[in-house]
Amino acid sequence: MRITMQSVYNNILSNLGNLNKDMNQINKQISSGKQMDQISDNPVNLVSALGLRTNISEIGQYQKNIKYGETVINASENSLTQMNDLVTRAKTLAIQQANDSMTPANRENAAQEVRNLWEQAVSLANSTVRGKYIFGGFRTDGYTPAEPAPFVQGARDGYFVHGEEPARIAGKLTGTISTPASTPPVTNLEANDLLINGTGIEAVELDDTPTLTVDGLNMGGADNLKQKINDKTDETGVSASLTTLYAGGAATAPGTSTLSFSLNGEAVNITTGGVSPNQTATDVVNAINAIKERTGVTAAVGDTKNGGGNNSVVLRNTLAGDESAITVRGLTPPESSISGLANTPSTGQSADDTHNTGAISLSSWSDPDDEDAPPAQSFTITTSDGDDEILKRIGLGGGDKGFADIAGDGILRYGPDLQENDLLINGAAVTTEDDKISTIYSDASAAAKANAINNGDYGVSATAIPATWTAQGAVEAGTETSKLTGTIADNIDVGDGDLAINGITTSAISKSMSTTSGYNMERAATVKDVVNEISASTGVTASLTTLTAGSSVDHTASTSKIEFTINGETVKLYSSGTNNVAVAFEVAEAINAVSDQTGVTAARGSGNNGGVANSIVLENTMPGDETAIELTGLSNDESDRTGLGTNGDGKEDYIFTAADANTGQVSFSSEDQFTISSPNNLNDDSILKELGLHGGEEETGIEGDVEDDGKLTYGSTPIYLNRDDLVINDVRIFDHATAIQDRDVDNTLVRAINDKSEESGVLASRNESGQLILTAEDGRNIHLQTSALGEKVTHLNGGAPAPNDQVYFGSVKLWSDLPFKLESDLAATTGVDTETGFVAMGLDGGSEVTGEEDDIAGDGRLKVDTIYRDDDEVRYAGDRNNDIAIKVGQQSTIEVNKNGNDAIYQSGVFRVLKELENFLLGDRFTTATSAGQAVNQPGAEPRANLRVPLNSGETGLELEERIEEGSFQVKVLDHDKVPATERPFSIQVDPENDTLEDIAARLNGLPGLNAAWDDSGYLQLSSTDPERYSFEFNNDSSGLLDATGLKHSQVQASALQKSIDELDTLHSELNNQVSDFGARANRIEVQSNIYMNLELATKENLSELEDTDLTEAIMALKAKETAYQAALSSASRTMKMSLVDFL
Amino acid sequence: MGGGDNGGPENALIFRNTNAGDESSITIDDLDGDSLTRMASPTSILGLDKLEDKTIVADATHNTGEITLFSDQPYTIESGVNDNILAQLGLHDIEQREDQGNGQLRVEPGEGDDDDFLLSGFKHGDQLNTEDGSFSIWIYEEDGSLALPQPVEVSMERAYTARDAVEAINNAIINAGGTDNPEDTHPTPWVQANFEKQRFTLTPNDGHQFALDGARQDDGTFGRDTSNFLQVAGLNTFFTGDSAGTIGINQTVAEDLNYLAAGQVQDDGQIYAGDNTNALEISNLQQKDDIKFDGGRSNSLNGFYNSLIGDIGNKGRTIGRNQEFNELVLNQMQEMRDAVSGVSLDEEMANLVKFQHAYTAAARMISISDEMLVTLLETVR
Repeated sequence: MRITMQSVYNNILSNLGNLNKDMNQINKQISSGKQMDQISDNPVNLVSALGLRTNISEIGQYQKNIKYGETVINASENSLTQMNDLVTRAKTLAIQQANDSMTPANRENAAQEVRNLWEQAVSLANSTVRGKYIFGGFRTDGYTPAEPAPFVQGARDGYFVHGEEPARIAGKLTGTISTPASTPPVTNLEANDLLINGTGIEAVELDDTPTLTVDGLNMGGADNLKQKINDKTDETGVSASLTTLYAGGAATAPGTSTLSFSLNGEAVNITTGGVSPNQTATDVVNAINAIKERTGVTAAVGDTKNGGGNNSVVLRNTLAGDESAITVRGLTPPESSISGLANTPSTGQSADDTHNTGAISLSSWSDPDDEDAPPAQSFTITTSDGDDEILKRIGLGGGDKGFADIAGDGILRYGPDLQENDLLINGAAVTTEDDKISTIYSDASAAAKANAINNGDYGVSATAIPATWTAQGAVEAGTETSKLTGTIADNIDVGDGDLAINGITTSAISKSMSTTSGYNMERAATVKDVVNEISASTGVTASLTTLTAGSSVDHTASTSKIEFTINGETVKLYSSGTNNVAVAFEVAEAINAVSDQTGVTAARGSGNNGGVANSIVLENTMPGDETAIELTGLSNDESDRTGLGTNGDGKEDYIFTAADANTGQVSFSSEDQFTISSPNNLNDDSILKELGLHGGEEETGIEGDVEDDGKLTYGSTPIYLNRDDLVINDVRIFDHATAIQDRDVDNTLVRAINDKSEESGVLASRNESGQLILTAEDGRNIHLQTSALGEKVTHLNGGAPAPNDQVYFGSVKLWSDLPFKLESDLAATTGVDTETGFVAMGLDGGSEVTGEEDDIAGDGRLKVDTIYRDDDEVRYAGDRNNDIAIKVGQQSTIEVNKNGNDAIYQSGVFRVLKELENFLLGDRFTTATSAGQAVNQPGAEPRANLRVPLNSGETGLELEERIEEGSFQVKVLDHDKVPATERPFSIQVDPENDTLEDIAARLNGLPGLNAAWDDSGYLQLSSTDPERYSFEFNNDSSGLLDATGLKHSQVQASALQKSIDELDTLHSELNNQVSDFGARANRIEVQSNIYMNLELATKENLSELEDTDLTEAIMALKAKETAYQAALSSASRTMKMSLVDFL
Repeated sequence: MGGGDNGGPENALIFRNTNAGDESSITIDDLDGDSLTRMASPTSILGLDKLEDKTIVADATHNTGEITLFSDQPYTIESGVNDNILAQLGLHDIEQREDQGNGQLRVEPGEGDDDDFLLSGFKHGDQLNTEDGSFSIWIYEEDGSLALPQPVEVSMERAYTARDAVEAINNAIINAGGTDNPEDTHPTPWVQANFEKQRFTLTPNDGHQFALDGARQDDGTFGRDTSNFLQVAGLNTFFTGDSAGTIGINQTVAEDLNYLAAGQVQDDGQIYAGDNTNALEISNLQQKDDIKFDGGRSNSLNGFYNSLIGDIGNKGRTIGRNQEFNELVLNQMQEMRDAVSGVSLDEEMANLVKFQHAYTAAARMISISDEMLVTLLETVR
């Protein structure tokens, strides 16, 4: 190629320029120390370098974080370790002071020290690092004057409010159907006029004038309505019932006359002046009403408006919704027409379309045998008209009939449940549903409410406080152990006037009446009749004892597998006997095996004991018990083999009453002391002998009875409670007639209720005055059904001696760590509005009830935001949910603290220390073990010694002899109330009747207290909620506390022992916490080391990427310089080398 | 009432949303509810059999046959030289149109009352859920304790205009009890919502504070805000602006870092001084690698920045190389040009000498010829 000078110059220049640039670059690298000056210098390296630089700055921050974390973790560890030291010290003190030799003054000093420890624990819990609380969760700062630190000494934890128990309600809702004579007159119900729980009821005829209405009561209408409502029971869960009413014809005025009959088995004897029909009727009514507590029947004089014609006697079951039969027996013409009572059918008159009160009773009802049946819940009646007109037709309009009932809204609710919009907690609606444990109104129980709140997201937790109920009066019954019962003999005629009761003579009782298998059954029935003839004057009634005997058993009858029921209880046996005697014994034995449940005793007939030879003789166990013996399920073969029933008649079911056969005995009873005498035979007992009541103290068993003085005096006789007399939560408390004593001194009632507590969920106790105290075991309702007699004896439901049916509800406690708000629907009433939702929760009534100062009754709002001061408490005001995490890696964080609730509060350190202080001061016991041991006899049945009377000498208590009749007091303190409230209970001790188990049961039945004898013979007592309830014993006049080792000092010692145990647990809990923080400290240190190494390595990498390698750079520079110089010199030579120069 | 030409057959019941462009659903249920139970078969009597317990949303067979366009900016629709195509959309004879007949439709923001602004016209307005969406506001006393134990839940259901949103907020607060004068006809809420100058503001009254619940939910929604209203309205405490182009730091926070919400509102409404949840979340942002960038790529912020730098570096380097290359080419070309057209001194000198010699030779030729002529002439003479 042709090379010109220009090219040569240009080449030289450009090459020199390049060299210059390179040298400059190298120069810059050397002087700056960095390889890259511009991003374009080495983009690949640069990106890596940028990444590394980020890494390094991150690592730097992580290390700063770790350093901070270490500080916090170490501080936490320190605080917890010191707290653990405090606990150790407390334990040492507790062990020292548990020693018997310590005086109260010693213990008081120790208590003072424990209080100091407690205070130190609080201040340790409030430790800070750089002014920030380490145990406050996220709330490291920002405390208020009211809550100056995470742990506030002297205030209760959280915010809370206690509801009161909602008012009890009757088990059934009753309304009287209006009649054509009402204003406005009754009209028929169209289909869907009435809806129960949303299900429409078919059309009901109420206004078929006048056939439905009988003497002013719409009996037919009530019956029609009942049928239609019950048609839908499966859907509505509500069943309807009538109330039995029976009216006789008009009474007459026969002049003075005596009327004797029995009403529901109770004798009625009336002597009426009979001056006018009205007078007769009034006399009959008064006589019947005088014994209404025994019959359950109330009487009134008919006036054509109350179900009976003028001057008739109208009988009705006292309890609304009671459809059971009213039975009048023994009235024969002309007495029946005089009395205003025509004979009822022999089986009695049950409620039907012409025998009812014209009222209908509604009750929530669930079929226990159908799993899919709706539960027995609160119910709501709605109507198609939207006002109360339809409700008024069935007697339920006008407001105040149901729960928060307003007049004129066409709606009636029954049961204090929570429906939508009734109650809002923090703005969210609470609705209750079946609690699965209550037998009735199961969506209105405390459990249902607590469940609804706890299962929802309200920010509030709820605790169901069990329902508890104290009877309105002491248990009231007779005083003797049994009725006075004698076996009738048949020796002499008892003439008219030969026998007197309370000085009033009886009619004659002739001899040689018919006997049955050796028993003077007819004579016994006669004695009963003549005694009862005058019982209106004497106050003494006589009764027989039901007996029934079959024919002889037949071992040849084919069946050997026998199963039938007596009084509803199954009797089952495999009869293998090959002769009649053996079979009779087998059958009798099988029946006697369940006699506790049936109340019936069996014997093999001997021909002299009321039954033919080898027959089965059944008797009511309790003398004087006339209740029927019912046999069901006897097949022909079974009937043949056992001789029971009537052979070959093909029937399966039999009812035998005392009128059919009796034991030949007569039992006398009275509420008061009475005397039986033979005025014509003052010096011998021959007349009394006829009644089987002769022979003085030894024969009659009556203390002080003298032989051959012709009389005997007996204290009042006991009352027997039978199957239907007391029913708790659908559980019959008594399986058979059981004698009850005044004030239940022999514990029969308390024991019977507690024996069934597993089924009923209800515990019983009684106080010194003999009142029963019932407490539910959990949040369920208590449904108490009492018969007239049951009520008269127990006074449980309202106290008045009439049958009753009531439901009692528990209460609910609400707690939250934040203030919370409740809102209630308002039912507009005159005056202060009803806060529907609050009524259901027992929170209505404003600040007096809720304790919240700003709460105004009737405004439907309640803000729970009071912080209660309490010197003995520590409040946690920090954050309960979060633990602060710091970032120690791109993806990893480490929690450097634990919020104070989890780390400290939950360990119970403050509570345990405070308890120890209280125990040292002899205060606020929550647990106790008896010092005395009840040692059982070797070989005796387990716990046998716990079931013998306290004065038997067999309880195994060393100090048993110190127990005497008297009482002691238990005080249950409720510390949830501010200030604490106390409920004193006086427990009466009767060494003759009470056993150790009775005492425990009575303590256990008290609200807030658990008590039971353990298997080693120590009585274990504890509070059902140690943070809430404590107890104290005192005022011991019975010596029981002394004998069992529950004296104050002994309780204190056992409480201290418990404290020691708890301190142990606390110790290990805190140790766990400490080691947890230790582990974190380790982890963070490891992390820190890793970062230290990583930082070095990364820096090295980065340096490799971006720093100038000086040697290399200088070498390069040198090379470039040499090149430059060479280039220069060669250029100069090149440039000199030209033809011109040459030329 | 249907007429066969208005979306329903004759005598049918027709339901339509009142607000144009409102796609929220129409729900009919409880046809068998209490009020109608006494009617034999209410659904068929009302002709609503097909609607019973159904929710109808705008779709291909359930709409008014109209289309509504929203934008946060003025926009133009162009369609040829006349309005024929606009007429297909029913947009040719809109009242007061000045550009009639030219195939164009220009839409400017409406004048009118601030309150009449349509929420759908907001930037990201399409994200708004007015179906069943809501968001929560916690209200506190001055001392930081909760004034209401629960957050006020503001339902954005059927919110259409800015006024709807403002009313929804104010009414929700008042209904939750957040007012000092509940008895008044127009109670004042503790936190007042306003819409002025096309911006939503929430202002607490004296004695109250508020927090928009900012906890990030598992489903990714922000601030327990299922309505996306906070996002659409731009209500947050961190940023200003509505896109990467306009993003900025909230002025208050920029001036005082104490206003930076390092923590979150707890489930129970508590706000704690030591809460660093948001701070952790923010620091995690740096490494979070599922951030979407323009073009749909996912990367972390850090990675994106680094690769951006790398890109620029690479580009710079490429440009440098190109420069170098082109310089070389230039040199080469110059060299080649010079090779053709450049002056080589040696060559010129050589030519000079050569031509000089030729000249001399030629001159000598002439002198010799002359001599020869002279000689000849002399010879002849």
